[in-house]
Amino acid sequence: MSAPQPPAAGTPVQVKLVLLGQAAVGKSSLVLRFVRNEFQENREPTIGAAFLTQKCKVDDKIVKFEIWDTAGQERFHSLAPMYYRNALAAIVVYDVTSAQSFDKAKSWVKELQLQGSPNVVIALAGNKIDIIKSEGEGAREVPADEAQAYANEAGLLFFETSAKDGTGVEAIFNDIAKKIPFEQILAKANAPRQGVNLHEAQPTPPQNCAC
Amino acid sequence: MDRSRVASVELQDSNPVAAATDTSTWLHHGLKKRRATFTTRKPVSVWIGTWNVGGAIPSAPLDHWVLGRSLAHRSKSKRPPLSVSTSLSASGASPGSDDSPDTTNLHDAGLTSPLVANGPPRLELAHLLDGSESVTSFESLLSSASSLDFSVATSDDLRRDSLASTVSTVSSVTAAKPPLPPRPPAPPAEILAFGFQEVDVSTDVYFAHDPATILDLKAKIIDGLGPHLEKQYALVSIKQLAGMIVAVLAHESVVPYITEVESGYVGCGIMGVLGNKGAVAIRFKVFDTRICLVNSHLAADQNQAERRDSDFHEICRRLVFKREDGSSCQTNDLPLLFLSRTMVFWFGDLNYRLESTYNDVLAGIKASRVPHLLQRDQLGHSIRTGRAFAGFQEAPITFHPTYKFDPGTNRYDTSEKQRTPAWCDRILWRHPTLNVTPVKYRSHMRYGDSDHKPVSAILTVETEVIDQDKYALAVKEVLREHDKWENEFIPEASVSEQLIDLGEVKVLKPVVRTVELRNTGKIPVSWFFASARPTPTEDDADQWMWTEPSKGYLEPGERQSITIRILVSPVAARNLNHAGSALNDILILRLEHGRDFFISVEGRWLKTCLAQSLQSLCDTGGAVRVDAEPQNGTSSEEPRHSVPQELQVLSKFILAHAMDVPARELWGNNGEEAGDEAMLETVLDSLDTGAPLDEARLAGTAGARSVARVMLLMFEYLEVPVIPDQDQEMFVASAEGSPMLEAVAHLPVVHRATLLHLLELCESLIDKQGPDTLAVLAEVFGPLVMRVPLPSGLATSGSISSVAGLNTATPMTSPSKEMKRYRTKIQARQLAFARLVQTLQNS
Ligand SMILES: Nc1nc2c(ncn2[C@@H]2O[C@H](COP(=O)(O)OP(=O)(O)OP(=O)(O)O)[C@@H](O)[C@H]2O)c(=O)[nH]1
Ligand SMILES: [Mg+2]
Repeated sequence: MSAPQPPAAGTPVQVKLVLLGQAAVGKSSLVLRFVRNEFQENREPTIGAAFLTQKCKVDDKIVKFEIWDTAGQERFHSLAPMYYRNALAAIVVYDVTSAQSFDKAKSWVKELQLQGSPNVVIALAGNKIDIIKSEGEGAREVPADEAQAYANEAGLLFFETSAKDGTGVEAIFNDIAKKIPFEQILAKANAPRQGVNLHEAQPTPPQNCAC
Repeated sequence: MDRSRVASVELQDSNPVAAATDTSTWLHHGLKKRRATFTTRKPVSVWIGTWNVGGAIPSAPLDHWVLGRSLAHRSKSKRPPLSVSTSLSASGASPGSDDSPDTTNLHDAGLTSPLVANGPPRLELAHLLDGSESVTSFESLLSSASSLDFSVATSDDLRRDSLASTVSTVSSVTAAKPPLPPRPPAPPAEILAFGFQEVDVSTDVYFAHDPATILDLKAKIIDGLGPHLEKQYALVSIKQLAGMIVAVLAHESVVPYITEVESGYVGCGIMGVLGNKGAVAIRFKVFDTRICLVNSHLAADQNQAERRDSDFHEICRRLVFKREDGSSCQTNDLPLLFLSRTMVFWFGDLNYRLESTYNDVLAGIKASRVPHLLQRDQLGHSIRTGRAFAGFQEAPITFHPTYKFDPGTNRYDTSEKQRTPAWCDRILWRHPTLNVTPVKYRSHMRYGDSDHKPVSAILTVETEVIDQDKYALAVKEVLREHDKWENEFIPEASVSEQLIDLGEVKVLKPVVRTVELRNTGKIPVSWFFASARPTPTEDDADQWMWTEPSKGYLEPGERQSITIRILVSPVAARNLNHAGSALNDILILRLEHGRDFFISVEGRWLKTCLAQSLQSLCDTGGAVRVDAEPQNGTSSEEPRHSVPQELQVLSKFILAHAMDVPARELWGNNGEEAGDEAMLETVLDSLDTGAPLDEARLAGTAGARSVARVMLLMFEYLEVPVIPDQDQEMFVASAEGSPMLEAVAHLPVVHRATLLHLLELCESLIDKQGPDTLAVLAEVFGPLVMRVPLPSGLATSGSISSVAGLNTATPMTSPSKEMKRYRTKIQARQLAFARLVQTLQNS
């Protein structure tokens, strides 16, 4: 059937999403690009956790991401569980020009898989890919195929992104939205939902028949 | 600070702003505004017929009604023509006798235009003669969508039609032409909707759905389409409520675009619920427009117009739909019929009459003064006054009233009742934005089965087609707008400092800092410290930072100063002494439904001799802060001192400067009195840095008291009491003299030496101040040397934390058993200490 289902009836499915990764890899910048389509050259580090929301349409459903952008500085590491607990989705970010940030990303993935929600959808984002475009492969410290291989092995979505020029940013959120196990969420959320009343069975008071 | 506890503070999962302005409402309105950007319009032709068949399935074939022509395959014999002999004798109107079998072949044979689509027999003898059956033409059609590949008549056609209807009897002459081979009929429209009333008037079907009747009727409809067209149509749905039946067929060209077929019915006849009156309806989507077809039979009788109006409202109110496949309809909120974008067609025997008399109406009919008669139409009146069918439209009526005929004739009611003729049978529609263009609206006089004549309309209906890509784009745009709005209304604030450097931090030395929180957002902010401890309990004794207030509320633009107080109690110092020199913690300041701020609090911890162990104090040898070189003497080695140097310094000071201060004043009340904080700090600093006590500063009673207090603190917070827990019962049980000495000999060396050192000091004080002093000293030192843990649930009363003015919880219950036992233990220790002093005095 060609007739589409308008999502007008769509109340969004809320999905908590957390961004993790070493300091200065561009977590806040990715969120800023996704939510406001903006970029700032010299952003201050996040000291705390920023909260924003953004919606995506997936088929006939609307996903509302509740995004928690965390602080990457090591001294705040111990506070991270507060943010990734109950998160259905996570974006673990590294900087393609920093091998060290990739190692850190791997350790975040491990921690998430051990201590995060059981079915958390994790995406790995190799950010700042624009630098490779402008400065050449020499600037790269994390080969794409290596990261891809790791992502496959660990069961992650993988994207190379740039918060600066926007590469891959929409895609990463959209693909995460597609992988969210809606049925489970909705089943949980709507368990006691009422059926729709199809018949209105209230007869009106007797009236004289006019025929 | 305890991280695990901090982490247990739940993050809120949803934003209340989002809930308040829910996304679906926002989407609905946003898409409505943008509708033109993602929809195109597509005309669909709809044939609607309504017929009150008067009690039985009509015997005559339906071809004329549906196709506007007779099917060639029928033989004369199959079509019982109206009796030629009948006449409208009462009105004197022309008889319908010209609707003879011959005419059938005649117009099928060649008078039809190439655009047979609407295939009307252009020259129907009967209606041409008396004007009772005519084809409506409309100026509007000149501009109507003629792009449809079939079924929409061109304006030319219609002009010819209207022309035809004015052509006079000449047509009968043309009837003499020889028959030509029949051509297959063209489909009359893409969607065909049949509304029957009074198919069966027996009372036992007022509730029932009668499968046999439906089967018969289906066969009748199929027969009416003929073998050629039958194959091109599919039944969308057929629904029955007693005598009312609605059936919808769709042409193969639109079948794939028909979805969400639903149906419903309302009975509002006898008792207000039975199906002798009411409506049956079928609803479905064509492309992206929902079409609702309501076939209704409203209350009868000349003077029941109001009842008909109320039947209409009753049906609107009660009509709910059910999916054909049994699944529920999402749009099941009343009034269903008038979901704003639904294209509603409402037809049937609406039963509205003419406010006129039998004779006047007959005269009007005779004079073909249709517009004049229509002025007296009750339905028109109800629509104009808004009493019922508000917003509905109808094609102009150019045919004669379709009720009431003597069955089998074209003669208006000649019975005794002489019912006034009326346009009972009508076809209406309603949609706020999409256009419906009438192509034809006519009656079919040739059918004599009933006291009503069938009516039919062909309408060109605009439907919407949604472009999926553009639609997705619009959805995205609307969501973006909503996100922007939502994010703008997330609580926002700024904090003046996120890194607080405390500098050097010492035990019992308060530090106070402030940070300022300012609401920089657009909505009020509730904030709180996620790390704020719950109400003080025993295990909070190592807390060293407090925020005041720990939660609050700020209007946009408002500021609030938050005090951060640091005070390291000796208990807290114990952990810090072990941890090294770094003192840090992170406060989490949370905006409810918004972001978190981290406020790092950092300082350099200066070690203290309080809350150490005797062993480590002795091992250190010098002052705790001086011990830079890692000189951890191995445990086998003799400690450098057998009595901690700090204690020696303190007792030396007391022996030298405080012997005249009465013992009760010196030690009493645990030294708790305001005003000597600075001196206390001086004493501690001297001890911890190894500097000599500043005798000049500490001169006088206040100085002596500070020194004495530090000594008490040292004993109170020793990691292990001078007489360790496991040895205390032995002391409590030992009598004065040798048993006591034996117990003392039992203690570890540094503990034994320290105890003896203290006892010697006590002895000196008693010597100096008299034997009464013993009681005072025993009272103070007994429970310190042999520390007893407080009963659970009680905060330390009279301990150092109350010196600091913190954790001053009072016993929550009146003296309990536990409390009594505690007191007994304290007394036993006081007595034991007295015996210890006496043993020493006597030895
Ligand atoms: N060239 C380039 N620079 C980027 C990109 N993303 C972020 N940056 C820059 O990298 C710096 C750090 O970015 P942030 O977004 O603050 O990094 P972060 O991961 O949020 O850092 P923390 O909040 O400290 O954890 C900023 O100066 C950004 O402008 C990118 O895709 N390309
Ligand atoms: Mg950041």
